[in-house]
Amino acid sequence: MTTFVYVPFVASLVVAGLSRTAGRQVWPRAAAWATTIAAAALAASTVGALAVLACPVPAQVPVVAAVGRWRPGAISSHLPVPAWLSLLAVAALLGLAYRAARQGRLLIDDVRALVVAHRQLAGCRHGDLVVTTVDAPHAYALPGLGCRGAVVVSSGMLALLDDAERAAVLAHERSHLRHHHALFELVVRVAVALNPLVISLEHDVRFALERWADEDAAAATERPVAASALARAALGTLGATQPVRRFPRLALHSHWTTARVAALLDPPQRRVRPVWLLVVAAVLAALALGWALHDTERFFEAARLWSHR
Amino acid sequence: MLAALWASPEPMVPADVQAAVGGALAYTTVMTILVRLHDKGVIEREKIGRAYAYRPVVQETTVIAEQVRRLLERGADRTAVLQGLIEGLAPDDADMLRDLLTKADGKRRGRS
Repeated sequence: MTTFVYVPFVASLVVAGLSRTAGRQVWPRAAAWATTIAAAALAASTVGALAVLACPVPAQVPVVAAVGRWRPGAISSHLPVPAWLSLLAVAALLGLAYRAARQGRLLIDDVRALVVAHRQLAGCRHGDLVVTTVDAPHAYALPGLGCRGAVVVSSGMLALLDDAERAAVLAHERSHLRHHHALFELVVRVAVALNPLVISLEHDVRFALERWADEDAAAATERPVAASALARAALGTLGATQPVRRFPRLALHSHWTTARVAALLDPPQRRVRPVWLLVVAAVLAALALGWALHDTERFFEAARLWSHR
Repeated sequence: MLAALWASPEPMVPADVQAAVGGALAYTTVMTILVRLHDKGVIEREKIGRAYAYRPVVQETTVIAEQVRRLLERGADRTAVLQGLIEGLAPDDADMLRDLLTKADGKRRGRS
């Protein structure tokens, strides 16, 4: 089997390494799309490549060999990849199946929680808005499941902000709902479960989605308004027990929120090109997998010939 | 049960609460739950005659908001379904954020 089968793994590492740099200073909408597409394509091609590497193992099982009309011995004497590598690929596939199953269960939990949340909030909605009487500043978007999504804002959050800033916060959350950002996150979560090599993409996509919503908030109000709303809300949560998320490789701003406020104070970024490199890398990985699959098919045809000589 | 208490304009004695929830729960169960809610500070009580009457302390949406938030937050890693505005903040970032806020407010004043 050719070296093409290894391309998806290399491409994953390259994309994981490039995405944070490529995703910075790029139009966030393009960054979110490109990174999500790349993650999905890389997940599919690495799983496919593992299957190609692993297939000599099941092919030597007598039942499988009988169905495929080759002799197990014909496979073991012409192994296309080293036996230890095939075993490793089998183990990796089992591990990924476990990860996928666990992620699937978490997703089911999430959907259940969302259904309950929507039912609970049904009575207090005014259109798509729910204002809760909570002193801590919260604002979040609840994706709709078939029905309309909801924006939940606490009275504590509203008290921190002036009118223009409130409009910015609502525009931010509505942007999450309108552009179905939850679906991007869903795709990336599943992709990362299947391809741990690109685990950093989950982080990058989330950041791009927040920036996308920030830009929509800025468009609905003004850039400095969106920036001050975000900064004030973030400072309001100081001391509140929220998980802290670090933004490791961004030297200037160690934190997401700081980076987002800074981006809103700069002129809007319309660059797109760097981020499409990620998609190109992912497409190359998929093409390489196609080639490897073709080679595998030819290998088994040959195995049939060797068996009947 | 909390819903029943909110629906009532007056404080309710346990027997009323039991009737309001459809009599599906035993009186002692209703009592136990009421006492526990009282301990948690979700409801308050006052003495009416020989019995305690209960009414909710907090407004309705507060508890719902808490429940929804807890539903959607999974441990330290928040779940994907919650797209919050901010993701928490480390104290050392606060100074930088304050600087940025001053800058943003300056720009806003400059414009208007």
